[in-house]
Amino acid sequence: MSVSPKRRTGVDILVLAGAAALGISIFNYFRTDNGIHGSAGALLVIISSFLMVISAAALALAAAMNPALRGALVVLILLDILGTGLAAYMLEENWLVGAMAVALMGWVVRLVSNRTPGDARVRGAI
Amino acid sequence: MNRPILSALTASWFTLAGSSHGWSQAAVPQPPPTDAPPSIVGAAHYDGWYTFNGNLENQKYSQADQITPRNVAKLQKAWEVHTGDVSDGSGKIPLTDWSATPLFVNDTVYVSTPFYRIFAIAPDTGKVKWTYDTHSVLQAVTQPDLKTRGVAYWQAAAPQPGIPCQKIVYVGTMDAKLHAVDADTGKKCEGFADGGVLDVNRWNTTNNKWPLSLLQPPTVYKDTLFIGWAGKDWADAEAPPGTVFAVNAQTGKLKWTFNALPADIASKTGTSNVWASMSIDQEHGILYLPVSSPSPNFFGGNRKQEIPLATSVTALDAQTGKLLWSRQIVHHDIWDYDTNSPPVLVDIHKDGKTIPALVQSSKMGIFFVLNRLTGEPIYPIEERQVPQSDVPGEQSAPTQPYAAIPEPTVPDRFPGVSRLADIASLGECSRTLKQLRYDGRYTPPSLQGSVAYPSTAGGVEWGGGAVDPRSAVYVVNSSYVAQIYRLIERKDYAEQAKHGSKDEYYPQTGAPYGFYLRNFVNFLGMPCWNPPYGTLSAYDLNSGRLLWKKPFGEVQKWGFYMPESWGSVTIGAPLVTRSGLIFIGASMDARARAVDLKSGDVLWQAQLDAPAVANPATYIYKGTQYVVFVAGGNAILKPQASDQVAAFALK
Repeated sequence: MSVSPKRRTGVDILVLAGAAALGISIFNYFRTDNGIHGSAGALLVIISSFLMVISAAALALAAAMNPALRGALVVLILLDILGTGLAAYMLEENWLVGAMAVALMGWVVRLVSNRTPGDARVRGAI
Repeated sequence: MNRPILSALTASWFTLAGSSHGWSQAAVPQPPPTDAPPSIVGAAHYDGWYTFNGNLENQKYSQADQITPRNVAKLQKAWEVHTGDVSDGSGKIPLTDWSATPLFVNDTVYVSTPFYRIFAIAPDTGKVKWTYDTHSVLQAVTQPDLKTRGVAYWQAAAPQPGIPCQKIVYVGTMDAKLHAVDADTGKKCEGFADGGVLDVNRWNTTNNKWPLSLLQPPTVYKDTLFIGWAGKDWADAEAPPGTVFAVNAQTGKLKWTFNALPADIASKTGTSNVWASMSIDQEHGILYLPVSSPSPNFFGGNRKQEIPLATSVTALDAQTGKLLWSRQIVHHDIWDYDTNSPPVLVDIHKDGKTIPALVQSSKMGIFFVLNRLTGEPIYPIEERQVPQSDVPGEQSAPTQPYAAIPEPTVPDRFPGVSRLADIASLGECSRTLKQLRYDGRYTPPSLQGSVAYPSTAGGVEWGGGAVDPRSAVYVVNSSYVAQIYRLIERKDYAEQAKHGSKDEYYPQTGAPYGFYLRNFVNFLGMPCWNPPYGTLSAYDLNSGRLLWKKPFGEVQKWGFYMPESWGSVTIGAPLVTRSGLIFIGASMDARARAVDLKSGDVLWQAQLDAPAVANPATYIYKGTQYVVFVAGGNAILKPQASDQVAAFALK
């Protein structure tokens, strides 16, 4: 299967933003002067960021993924972005909020980008 | 009584919030507490911090004005000290609650730790000069946690170099030992009491079911220490009477005592003690006591006769201990509405006159503004009819004092059930409320269960308020906490308590009823009442007008911050500086903040290791103004303890 460059770019942004979020979350969890270190909330965003990276990487790497599974994954990633963003907002972690904004941009880029003509297998995918 | 508003609260969302004029010299001259000039209440130029409340008038005001609203955003951490004296309660040592105001005097910052050690710290570098260890028992003898609110300082009128103990630092312990330590060397002052230690418990002879605890540092005036104490709350109907002891500052010899309880009923009740700090009108030699409620705290059937000095602000002749006047702020207290902070003394200007006034804050969120020489109200105090108890054996007071000016911080009515908490708990909040009695302020404890709003958790806690004496602008933080009170017949108490949380059941042994108390929260720990949960307010005392009132601090749970509009329950007071800044920790989110006195806007904040539940202090040393916060935490706010002392300055 071939994927449009824009769509690939969107996925790449997702992976990078997720990786950045993971790094920020781990840093926040262990940094002791930020008011949230060691908290359940800080742990939660580590997990959600990790899942985002894994899911986005799967989108990028698993070219032959079942369309339904791909669609579900894309929806779950959106929920992950929104949930992590909300959690980051409530943790008052602006860098993490920023990373989620970038991730959302990547998700939107992937959504609106044109599919490669003739790629029937991605029909129906978001 | 100083009931730690409950470890029960730990389960809930907020478990239960050098360039100043003339000061450019290298070292700040210290005020001589022993012969301080007749006070022009707060007008004396001074920018140290030599008492628990900054000065004897309890104004928490500093002339220091290097840090201003314009430059406060540049404030940075100058130094920090970790004392090592902290416990999360998981081991043999109980949890630590640390509310010690750091003193700046004798060119040194002095602070006591919840392990009852004194740290003497260099004011500019944070280097520890010396430490002193009381070797106190580290057990929760009376209180559930280890706690201290700091040290006191005395110095001779003309200290002579080379002679020890011309300057003394005092620290009390959980088991009522008052240690006197040379302020320069950290060595014990052998001439004080018994080898440097005064055992205040030696005077605990009536209803001495538990020892006394010296958690609040003594108030020092001239050559006298005024000593109050804390006890074991809600345990017994008959308890030690709340004696205040006046002792010689150098020898520890007893000068006089004062009891708020009439002698003829002292044996069948107890407490009405002074567990908070005290204030002094230096010009008139008057000592002001915040007197707490008598025991048992939630049932008064054993003490139906008048106890006029209980839950009062009481003025004594500081020299003799003779009663000058007293004003009761709760009649027949059955809510544990202790008068819990000393009055703030300030001169106010009203109707073309300068009036020597005091402001007595309260757990009810009501402010009583009185003439401090006579006790007469400056703003009206009315007697309002209040709901009556239906508990057999109880006889509640028909009326309670109420002051509408200044406007109380806590509203007169319960703010309604939180829809969010109610939905999240599938209606638990509203169902519970329907089962409870609630008739407004002073709804008495009942057998069915009552909503107490405000509750013993406050309103205004022991920190009280701060004032700019030049403008008579008074600043105070307040909490908004609803609790459930339920009396339990003695025959049923043991069985119910056996199956309940030890943090919710209190025996009131000797009374016909035990007691159940918890925060009004749902099973998730969410408050069942509408926010705000904490505010910071400013009043113009000259007019009694509220200038501004804003939610303060943030509730934090699992690391998540709730909306700022909710505010946070707070412990610890603000301070005010000449430059128009308020510095305050106090909130659940473990942040130190600087607030604009004019607008109430937060201008600066810094993250600390735990909630800064101590009153902050500020001082100028070698031309630099420092603001010091002790971030020790308190289980009432959240289960987070620390051993951090942090000083901030402009860089």
